[in-house]
Amino acid sequence: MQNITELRTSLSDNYTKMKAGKMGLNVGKELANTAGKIINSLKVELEYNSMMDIKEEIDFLKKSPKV
Amino acid sequence: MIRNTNVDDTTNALPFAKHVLAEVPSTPTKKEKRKIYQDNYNRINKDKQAVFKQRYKDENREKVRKQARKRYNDNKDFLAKQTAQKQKYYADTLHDAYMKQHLRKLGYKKEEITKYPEIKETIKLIIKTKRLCKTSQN
Repeated sequence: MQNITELRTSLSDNYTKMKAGKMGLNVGKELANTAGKIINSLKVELEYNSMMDIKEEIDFLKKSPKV
Repeated sequence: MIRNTNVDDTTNALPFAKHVLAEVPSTPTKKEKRKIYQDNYNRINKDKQAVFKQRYKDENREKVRKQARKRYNDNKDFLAKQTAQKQKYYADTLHDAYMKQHLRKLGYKKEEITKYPEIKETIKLIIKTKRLCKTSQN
């Protein structure tokens, strides 16, 4: 998973699978929780950047990050 | 500009005004005719009406304030019910307004929310998944 768009796509896939009954509810729930943790770490990074006054873009938030 | 003031005759109405003209009952009474005419006139002359309203508000500030307070007090329960319904609808449909509020509670700044809409969408999906789990388990 390279960026937030991919995370979103995978979450969306999981949701449709769960709705169709192709994925277990517990698995889906755990995956959603993990996605939440990733987003929280992103929030910490954003806060850090604003506190340190860093104007640099966050790679994970770009649609096509640097390789 | 020639205005169509005849309520019965909508054939000569201006093209942009045709769709807003109310349907005329087959045999309208004098009162109905007057109301239809007034409604149509107000719809067509919205700008003019806005100017009149603003002038009235400026001239009768205290009166308008009192009327607004009275209207609020008279319909307090209804307004509270309406607000609750609206909030429930926003929460159920994960409306943008609700999501913005939610993200602000989580600690995101206004600029961050507008700058990175992907965060909002991802959190929306997470909430949707969790809700699905909750309803399925029940």
